[in-house]
Amino acid sequence: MELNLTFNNEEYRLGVERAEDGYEVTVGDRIYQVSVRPISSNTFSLVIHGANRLIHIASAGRATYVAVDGRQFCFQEATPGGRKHGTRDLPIDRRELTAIAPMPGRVVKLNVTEGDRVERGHTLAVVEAMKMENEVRAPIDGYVDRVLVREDDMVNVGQVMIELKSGED
Amino acid sequence: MLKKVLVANRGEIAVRIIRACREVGIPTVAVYSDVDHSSLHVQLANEAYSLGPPPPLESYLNIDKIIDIAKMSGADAIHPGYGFLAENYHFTKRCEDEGLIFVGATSEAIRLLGNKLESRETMIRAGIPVIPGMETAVRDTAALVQQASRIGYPVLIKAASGGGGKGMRAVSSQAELERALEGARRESKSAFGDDTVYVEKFIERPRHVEFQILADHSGNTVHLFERECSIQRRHQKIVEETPCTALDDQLRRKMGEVAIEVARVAHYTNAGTVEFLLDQDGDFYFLEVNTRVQVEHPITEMTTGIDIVKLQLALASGDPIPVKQQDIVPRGHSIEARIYAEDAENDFMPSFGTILFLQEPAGPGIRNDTGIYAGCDVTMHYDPILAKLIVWDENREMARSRMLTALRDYTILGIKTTIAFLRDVIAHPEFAAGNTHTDFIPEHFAQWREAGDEPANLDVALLSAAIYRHLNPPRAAGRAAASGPAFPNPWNATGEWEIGQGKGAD
Repeated sequence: MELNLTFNNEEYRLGVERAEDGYEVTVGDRIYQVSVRPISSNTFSLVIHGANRLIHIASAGRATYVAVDGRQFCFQEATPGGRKHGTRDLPIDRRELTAIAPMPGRVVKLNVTEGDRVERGHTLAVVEAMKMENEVRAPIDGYVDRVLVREDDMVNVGQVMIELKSGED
Repeated sequence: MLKKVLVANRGEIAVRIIRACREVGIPTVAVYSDVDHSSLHVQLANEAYSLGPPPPLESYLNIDKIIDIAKMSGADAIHPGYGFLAENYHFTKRCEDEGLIFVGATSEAIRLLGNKLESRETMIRAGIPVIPGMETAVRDTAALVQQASRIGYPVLIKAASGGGGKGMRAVSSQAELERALEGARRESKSAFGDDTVYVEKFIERPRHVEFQILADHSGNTVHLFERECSIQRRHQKIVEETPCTALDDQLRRKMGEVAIEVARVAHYTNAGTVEFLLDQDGDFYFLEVNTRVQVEHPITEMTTGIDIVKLQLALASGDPIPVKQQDIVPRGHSIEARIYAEDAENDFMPSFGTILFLQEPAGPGIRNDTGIYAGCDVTMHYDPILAKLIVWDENREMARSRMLTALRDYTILGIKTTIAFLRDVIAHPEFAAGNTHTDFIPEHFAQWREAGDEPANLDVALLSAAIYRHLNPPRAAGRAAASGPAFPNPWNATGEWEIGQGKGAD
């Protein structure tokens, strides 16, 4: 089996083959001989080149969470079709023209309407979650092109809240 | 003894209080909002009643509903925990008027101490040292700006009804002040229902040192020594310890005496915490009294052997303090690390989701106060604290080492947590040296990234994920996640692949 996992914006190509003594796993161009000692449905012990490693692991949807020696990794399986909405989908030159939600939460304040002139660093909106406020600031000097949220709306992290247009227009 | 206690809270502190009640044989009543219907505190209580929709104002801050449930269920006392209604004197007054025992101070003491300005004036009159600042709260922005200029920048904006850093903003110039005021007022309004703020002198690189006090209804007051809580992010504590490395016996005795004096001046009863700032010259200033059980109360319990929550219950029912000051002798060293559902690599943004897997550390001197379990949802509605890991050992260095080991053995999968960050904080040479102050995190951990102590760990994690995915394809995982906490067991399903067991384990 082959799969691609993403971690910190890096993509890793992996291959898993059954071997006589467990598995042969390739990580990029590195090859590991691995045997597996199951402990529970989310915990197993790996023997890699003679060394014993305790692994906790779980998955939800396309995300796989792995803990090794108290360090946690979250891998996303590369999706063949389409990505989630968010700034990553936008062409590079559009990214800096958007104000995105810094965290999931509720829009408690919207300071601008379409056509407003804004300066870089100007607070466009305030998002609140768990009683903590976060200001959404203008990434550039410019004008408000489109406001895609209203006060009291719930937003997801990375969601585009406000689109700006630059300079003269 | 109390007959039945309603716990007006959620999460780890509700669980802590319910456990204390169970141990002394008092039946408990839990309350919960819709999103908390299967929370740990609901599972543990003898009775549980819905408060309705999740927003705090409609649920855990809904005084009418909580009082109604207390009366309907036959509870004779309410324990408010920390946060929510714990320091709302209207709620305490309401309990008093309705004939319910409030497990905490009186409404008058909470009102006085909750009003930072009035308590400040009271303390100044009693000769307690305070931080230079405003003598009165003003709503008018121009007057606040003028006051800030008089005190001199940097200044700290604080919510008059506040606590826990909510509504607090440090401001270094007049240009920043107006926007900071607006945010502080809104945050304060949302958290405490009051948008009055004030400004005071900002003391640079202080230590936060607080004293636990206990007072009974006959005027006996003792302190249970100090806790140092300087390690903070966003003005909220994340690591606490006792004893404080900066106190010698003389300073400790003096601060303890002042703490008791503060409690006496306020006619304080039940458990409370007197907070001080300790500056680099060893001068200390009264900050405020937290009129409730404190998040970090367990470290004091570890070193003094006194169960503060059980004593709260006893004091509330009119019992006297069972110990004398000279008999309270702390032993060893205790550290607490708060496990938050937050992304430490991204400005401590809250993280939500389902906890897919949970393994807590255990062993001698390790205590875990938790409100979570494998399969539970962490929602965006409330404070993101998940659990508190507390360790005790003979001395600071041993306690630190125990904490590092325990954090390494603490696994929460499915959401981002502060565990790895806490490990790096506690391993930091300046923390090891005891050089802690309230700017410790911004100073040493500004752009923190999880290092991964060995590069090989990433490969091990990747190949583990690959094998797991091979055995447990995404579709099956998706179905399993949707069907709830019953996890599939790929090991059972695959049968014969269990080859090489034990090989190379030497």
